[in-house]
Amino acid sequence: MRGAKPGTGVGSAHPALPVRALGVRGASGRVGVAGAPAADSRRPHISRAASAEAKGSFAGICIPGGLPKGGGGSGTAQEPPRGLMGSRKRGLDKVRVYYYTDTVVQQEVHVDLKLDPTDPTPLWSQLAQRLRELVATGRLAPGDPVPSVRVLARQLTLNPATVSKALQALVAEGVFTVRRGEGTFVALHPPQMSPSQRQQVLAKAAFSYAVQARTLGAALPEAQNALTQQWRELEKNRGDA
Amino acid sequence: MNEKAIAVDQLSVSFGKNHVLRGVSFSVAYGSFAVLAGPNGAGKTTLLRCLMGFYQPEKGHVQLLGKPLCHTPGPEVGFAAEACDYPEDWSLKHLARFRRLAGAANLTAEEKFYRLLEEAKLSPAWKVSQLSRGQRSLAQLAWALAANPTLLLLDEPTLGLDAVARELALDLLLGYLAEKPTTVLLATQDLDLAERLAETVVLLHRGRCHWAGPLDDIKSRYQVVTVPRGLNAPAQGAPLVRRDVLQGEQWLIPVTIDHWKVWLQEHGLSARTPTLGEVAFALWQEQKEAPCAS
Repeated sequence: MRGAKPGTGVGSAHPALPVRALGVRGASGRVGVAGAPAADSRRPHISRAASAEAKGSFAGICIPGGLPKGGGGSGTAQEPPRGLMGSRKRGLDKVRVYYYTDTVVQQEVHVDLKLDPTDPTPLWSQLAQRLRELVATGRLAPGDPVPSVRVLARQLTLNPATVSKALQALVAEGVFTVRRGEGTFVALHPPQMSPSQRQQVLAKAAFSYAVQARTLGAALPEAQNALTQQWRELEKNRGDA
Repeated sequence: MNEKAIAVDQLSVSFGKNHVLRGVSFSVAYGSFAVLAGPNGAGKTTLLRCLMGFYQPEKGHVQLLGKPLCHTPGPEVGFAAEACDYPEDWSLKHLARFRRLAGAANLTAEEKFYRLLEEAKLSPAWKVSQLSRGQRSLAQLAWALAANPTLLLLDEPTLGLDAVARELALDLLLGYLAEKPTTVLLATQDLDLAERLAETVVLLHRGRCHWAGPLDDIKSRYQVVTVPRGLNAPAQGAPLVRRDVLQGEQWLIPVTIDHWKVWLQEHGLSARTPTLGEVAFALWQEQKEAPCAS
């Protein structure tokens, strides 16, 4: 099941909101409200199965998305910081993305960040790559707020310096933008560059792919096929979103 | 030497005939997160206590934040000991008052201590004797962070904590680091955690420093390779660690040595980067001296 439809289950205040559902994992009846007081009647019920899953599987990131775009980041003094969910486990690199409006969780998406200590790539660069993938598949849509360094570091149990290096790299690339006083957001448009510049960047990435394909002994059609398939995979995910 | 937050030079400490530290040298740059790792009895706690000025070193020098150490450092250095040594009949409120004295006449350190206690789910009214092991650790961490230190020395802050307390402790620490760039020296046995946090690694074994340098450097010196059973190692050396796995044997080999590189190419084996745990295990298992980088 790909998560609850808007307007069902949680008594959504905004039934017309679009749902961005991707790769929802497990029986996803679980929804959470960050910061709703216990007496709040809107506080959703957390099923036992779902809490068990939460205990065992995921560290969570709450991405305060939803509508209006980019307006979700500011919390008043009454609300606990958004993006801190109760139940989570450290060090599993799993991210739970919650899309919610003021208090109601719209959608829950699990993203596996797969940080691998046996990968010679440094952790910051792995994290940057994973975030790039989230943007490429549309799990993080243009204008979505990106969790702060503090939240990401705490929830992924990473050194804040590592997280901030990853975010800075993405800001430098133009994938993310920083709005002063508001935080980091996914850029509304793909990075601005001239066609020749873009060609250069593409050629560089394509070269390393071509080299790998040839070392594995793959023929050109096979390599092209693989690329096309991955491209469709990304498109499909986008379509679902 | 002055641009280092921690500089330890040929530090030796012994208690009677027990030589706990034997010529340890390393340094940690400003703003860097360093992990001090070593098996039990390696001298981690003694080293941290030395940095805090609790022990007089037999030989060698210590500099913290560019100043030579002559007595216990001020509030700019935060310290959380392994065992909580607060008076048992004090309540956390008493500790807060003490923070006001120690925090150089500013109220903010006291206020911050209360805020951190709240974050750690501790009530100021509780007495130290009532606290569990995890809560004591949290109280110590809150106490250390309250003074807004620029250098943190932490002795096993997550040792023996349950999942919830561990999470709270890491939240306190990482939340603080995100706000203020701080130099950290964290002694821990938890190498998985170390791998995620550390920029610099100091490996101690039997009072000697086996490695002090960037995490990526030490990992790039070794590789893990899975070899089919019956394959011989090059004549000049043996793998540091052999472990039986499903597909054959898993070896940890030093790739900085040329004949290992040649051997890998000859047999067409692909290797992967080891985890910090795998490297540390190999170094600690080895009885003979491993080279020290610094």
